[in-house]
Amino acid sequence: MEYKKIFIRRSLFALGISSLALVSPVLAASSGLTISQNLSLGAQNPAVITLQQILNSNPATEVAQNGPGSPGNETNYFGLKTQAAVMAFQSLHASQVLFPAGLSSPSGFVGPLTRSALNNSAGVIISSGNTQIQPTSTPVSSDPLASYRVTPAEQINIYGSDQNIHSIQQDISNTINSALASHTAPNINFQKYKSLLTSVVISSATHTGQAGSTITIGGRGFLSTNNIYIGPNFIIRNVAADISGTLSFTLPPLPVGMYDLVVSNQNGVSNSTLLVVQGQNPISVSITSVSPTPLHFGSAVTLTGSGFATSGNKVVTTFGTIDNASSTDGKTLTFTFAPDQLKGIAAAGKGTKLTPMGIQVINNNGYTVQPTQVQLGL
Amino acid sequence: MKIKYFFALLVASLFFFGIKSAHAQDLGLPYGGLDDFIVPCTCTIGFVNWEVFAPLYISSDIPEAGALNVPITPTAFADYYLTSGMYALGDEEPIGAGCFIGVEPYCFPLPAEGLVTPFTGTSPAGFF
Repeated sequence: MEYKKIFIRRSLFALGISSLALVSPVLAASSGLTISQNLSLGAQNPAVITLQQILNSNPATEVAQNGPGSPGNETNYFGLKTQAAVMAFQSLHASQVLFPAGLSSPSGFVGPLTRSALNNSAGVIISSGNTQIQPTSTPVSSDPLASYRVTPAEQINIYGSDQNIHSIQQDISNTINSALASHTAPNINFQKYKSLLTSVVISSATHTGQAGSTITIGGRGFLSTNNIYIGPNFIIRNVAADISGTLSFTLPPLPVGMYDLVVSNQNGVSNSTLLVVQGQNPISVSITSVSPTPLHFGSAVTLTGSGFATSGNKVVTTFGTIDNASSTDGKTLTFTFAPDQLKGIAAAGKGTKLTPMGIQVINNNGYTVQPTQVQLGL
Repeated sequence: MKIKYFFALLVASLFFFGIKSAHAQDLGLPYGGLDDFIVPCTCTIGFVNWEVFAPLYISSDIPEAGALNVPITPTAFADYYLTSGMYALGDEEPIGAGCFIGVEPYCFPLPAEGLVTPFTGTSPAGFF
């Protein structure tokens, strides 16, 4: 009788183990950490937690280093940091995600191609109802960008010099607009801006490049030791100026996109200049026509051409820059032309004085080769 | 009014008679600077912009903030037209007067250190 009990217990035990063994794979398969729906900026649901966990398995695509979204602190909200991490992932997997869709720059949208790449980049272990990720992507020690990441001790405000220049622009613009409104002569004193000037100036730079290409920066105030910031998060350390005073470095494998280049040394921080890191098959950016003609202050302007990005297009005109213009089809770009420094002049004028103006577009694909000339009526 | 016509005549003469020599000393003072801010001189005959450079270097390594009058014609060197955000390098004539903004009869002068000659080159715009 006793043997029967033992046998029954052991049998039941064995049955339980075998049952568990049968169930676990089923559980693993049905509860696999996969993303099965499209996700985009603003989404709020549990699938975003999964997305962030997969992105955080690779330091090159981390959502955040600390706080919400960081490893172990994933959230169900698809915000700007998650979008940036998705774009980094898409750049790293461009051949699987972007090129098959005919794209050369990341969109931040998690569609079928991105989902497939994400799901293939992470394995899953399920244990006690908690989801663990077993990363199959690049481990931390072989992050190709590890040596280029800005450390906490190296963090600076790379836009300090730009902000000073913008304050000069705003002050002069306000002075002129106020004077014109009151029919008086503008009183402009340049001496008071002297303390806002930087002695480290970038005057020229390579503006587009791919990983491995040489980037050259010319300017003034460079020393024997300079740090070059590529955006606020990446740095090239201890670059020496050559005999002609030029700085050069090899572009690391950064995600495709626009970055602000800044030089920092003991003399200070320079103005920024844009560097476009391009993918393997960059699309050229061009403007073929502008409407309306002539333009007027406040005009809704449409550029027709090619290579325009969905968002983030920077439109540079003679009289100022419009940031983040959008294009729905890559061939037309719309924005409103209303720079502050022309407000007073436009209000005083009748729109009949025509003055030439240049327009260029810069985005993740690159630059238009030369400015397109149009007429502006003031 | 007389000042505006004199300035227009001066600008026209610079381009009509051409540049006889590429030597910097024949053309004026060398300058360099970051072109930050541009305003069209709406009361000046012809196409001239008043352009603020910060920093601006005129025959010196000491940076200052200042303005130059820039005729809206192609420059001798790429990228051929000054635009805000470009770094410019070239020669300027130390003629300060000439830019008037507003609409008749309310035209007012803007102060400038000189007039940029066509002997100027620029970087591609990448700033702002």
